[in-house]
Amino acid sequence: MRPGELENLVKMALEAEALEAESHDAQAQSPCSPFVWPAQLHDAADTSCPPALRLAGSAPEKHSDHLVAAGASGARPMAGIGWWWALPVAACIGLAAVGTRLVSQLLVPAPVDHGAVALEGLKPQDSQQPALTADTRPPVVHTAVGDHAPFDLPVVREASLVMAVSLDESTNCRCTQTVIHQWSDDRSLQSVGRDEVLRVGLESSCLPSPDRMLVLVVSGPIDQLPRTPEAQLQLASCIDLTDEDDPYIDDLDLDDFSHDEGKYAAYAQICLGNGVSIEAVTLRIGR
Amino acid sequence: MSATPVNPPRREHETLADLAKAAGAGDRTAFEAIHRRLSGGLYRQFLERLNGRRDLADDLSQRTWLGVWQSLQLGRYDPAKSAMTTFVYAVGYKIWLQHLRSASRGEYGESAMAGLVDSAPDPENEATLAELLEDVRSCLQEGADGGVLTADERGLVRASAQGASDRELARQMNVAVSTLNARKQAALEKLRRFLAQKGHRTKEGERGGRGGE
Repeated sequence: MRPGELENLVKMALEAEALEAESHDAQAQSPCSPFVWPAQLHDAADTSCPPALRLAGSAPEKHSDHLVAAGASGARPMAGIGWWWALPVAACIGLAAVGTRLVSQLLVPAPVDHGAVALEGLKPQDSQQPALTADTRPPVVHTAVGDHAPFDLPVVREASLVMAVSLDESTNCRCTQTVIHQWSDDRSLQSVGRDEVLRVGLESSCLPSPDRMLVLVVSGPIDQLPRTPEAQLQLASCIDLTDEDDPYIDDLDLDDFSHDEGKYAAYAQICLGNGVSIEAVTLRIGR
Repeated sequence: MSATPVNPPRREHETLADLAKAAGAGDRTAFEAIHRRLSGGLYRQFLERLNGRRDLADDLSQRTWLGVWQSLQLGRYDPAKSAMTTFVYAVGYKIWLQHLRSASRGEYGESAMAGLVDSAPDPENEATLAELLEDVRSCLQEGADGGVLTADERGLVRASAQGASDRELARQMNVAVSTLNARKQAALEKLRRFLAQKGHRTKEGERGGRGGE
């Protein structure tokens, strides 16, 4: 046990006790800060979609709890996926698999401007407006944008799928974005350095300034890569280490991306088989 | 024919457990009754932690109550495992910790806040935290949990947690400071073992050790 942890627990227990004592004291039941029902709170019971709960009447503290459902707009969006599941604390997770776009080093890289993509049931939030998202949602898949374009990879036989999972510490928002990437000079994943993997991950990140990142690269024959939204969703689930029932990850610190890159890679490999190579790189940026 | 406004029932005679059950079923007046009873105390606790910053205390309170409502709707509160007050406190604590983490690099100063956040108990969710706190509370109450702590030990642990120094307590109990400190550590060790038996994992345990053993 960490020094002071037990003493803190005792202190907290006493504070909870004091809260209970005050609940019996009519004088202490002050309506000093009436609860403001947010307009959308009625929808909170509807767990089929992740509503953004705005704090009506909240104080002007600078915070930016917002739902991020952003994606790169450098390529035409082909599909959007959002999936949600329980997290330990108030958190939001958005998977914006904004199509599968080819970013080739041989061509001009597609600009990434983090434009928001409308997902079904979700509205991108203005980051200046405080909003609170529900922290616990059952897994729900939203398939939105129906503007599917044919995937054009006429000459590419091998490529990499880069899945960038970004976490913003201040909002506990996670956003996952995938892109198909081809390394310059047709290099294989084994010859690509960690820095380059991180650079591609950062370029693909759908959070403008993530605090932590996990970049998972799946490399192999193009037809074995998880290119469809469903396959990417499956892969994201495979590396979701928040499954509390899994004894293998029982002792992991779920708040820390950097605990073991190998575990992310191993989990992905189990799901995808041995036909692809996988590398996972984590980064804590910190500010 | 116009509708006549009706004041919602204040439900002052219902227990918090009953109100929580009703609120969990979507009864907003029940939730408002819980809020009426507990919001004052919660707000004051935030105010103390925030050195009187009312705007921030308001905001954190509001976020706490939103969290409580959502947790109730999602069935995350189990009245058999913790009192409603403990649960509300736990939600508020998680919100507070979240605020600390986001603010630690800024207004509070990183070094000062880092220590606090590091030593803060942080179970994975509010329900787990509430259960942990409920077990600590039961140890600190007379006659509960088979007398894990003696009356003297309970008094010692309580007084220490409330800020009394070892020297001060030693003087009151008419023992040497070293003796007092040994008694306090023994009491905390008893508490730690009790929590481990109840299945609560410490941070150390979550990282691969045997929490509490």
